[in-house]
Amino acid sequence: MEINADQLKTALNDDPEFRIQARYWTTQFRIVTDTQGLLVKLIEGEVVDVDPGATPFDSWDFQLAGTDEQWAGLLAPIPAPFFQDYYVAMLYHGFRIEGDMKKIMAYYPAIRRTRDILSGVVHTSQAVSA
Amino acid sequence: MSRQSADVVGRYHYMTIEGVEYRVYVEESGSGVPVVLQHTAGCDGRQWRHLLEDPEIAGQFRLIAADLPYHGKSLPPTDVQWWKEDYVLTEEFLIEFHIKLAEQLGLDRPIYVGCSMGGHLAADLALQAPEHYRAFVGIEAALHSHGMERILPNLYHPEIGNETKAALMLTMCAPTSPEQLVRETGWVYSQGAPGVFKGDLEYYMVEHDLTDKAHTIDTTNLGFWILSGEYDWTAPPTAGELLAAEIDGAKFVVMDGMGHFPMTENPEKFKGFIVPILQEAAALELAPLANA
Repeated sequence: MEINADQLKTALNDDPEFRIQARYWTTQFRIVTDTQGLLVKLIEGEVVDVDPGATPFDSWDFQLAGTDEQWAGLLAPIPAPFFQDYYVAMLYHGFRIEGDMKKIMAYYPAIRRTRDILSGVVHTSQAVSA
Repeated sequence: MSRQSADVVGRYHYMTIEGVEYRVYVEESGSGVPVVLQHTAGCDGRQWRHLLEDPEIAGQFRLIAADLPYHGKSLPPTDVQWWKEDYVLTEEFLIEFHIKLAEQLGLDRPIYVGCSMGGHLAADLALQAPEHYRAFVGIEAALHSHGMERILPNLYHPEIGNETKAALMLTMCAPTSPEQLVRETGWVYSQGAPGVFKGDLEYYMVEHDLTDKAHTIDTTNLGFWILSGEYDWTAPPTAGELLAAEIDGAKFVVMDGMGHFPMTENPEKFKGFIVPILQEAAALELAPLANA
């Protein structure tokens, strides 16, 4: 599974629901898989950068972290039970949502939407490379 | 031909619960054996609109959906300074509310159907007021829902809006449920008074616990069904099964491809589960009550 940083940036900014739910949001968060660490930066609700090479020296407000197996479950076109969302995958499958939980909860409508967007990005990439 | 009106009527009833008078909004449709429908925490009777508007169901049953006080169109009471206290729902209040609702509407041993918080209440009512009902259907019911209490402050926080509640509810729906109806499920949650969802969850997550009592529910003169949605992560099928195992005579059904809100997220599919149960419950031949 490969998350294309450029495609993710475009997809997030092009998604009407994400833009509405991310309104006024200035943050920096990580998406972590077995092989990738992406740093997503937002200013006032717009994604200004998705850095595919996040390092331990970068600061972040929260992260969405899981194994490739967990991500594959989450991003499946029709997720199996208890993979339909980050939160439930955290409770049942060991996925990690880490950071300031109050801020995570405040913007959970936007965070929740990123799963749908990531699923689209990953499966579009797979279809193109097949 | 386009639809012009639904055969659902609403009326306000004045009910006194725990010594306080409430103006309670109740919607009804249909005729036949009465079915009382209890909404989930932080929500209101609109959750049952698809059942109420279904001619097949309304043709067989008298469907009744109330908004609990503080929910939907049931405003807070006028003789309580409710703004000076935290809203907290209790089992005692819920049980008195339902007994008085049945009395006030003149219902003769109705079928009780409740989801989530209402599902928990099915078992509490069966334990404490079985003589008032002919059958109980606990949707997404469980012995308890402990373990997530620390989420509660986040559900009534000045820095966390009502949209978060809606978003969390979306995560409890099945991914195959129709998108428009999943969004409607969230919409209703986004409209609850800010502190009410948390206050309801004090009953759902904290107070309700039948671990030591569920086995005493007597089903010799009533029906009891427990339905669990495959994708429901707050009251998963394993939790419903544990409750069913404690109650002799209870019937347990897993609803494949369903989440926590079957009556709103996928009402067409839900009909396939609930209609046969209502028909079986209506046909139960009950022994007369001892004091009748």
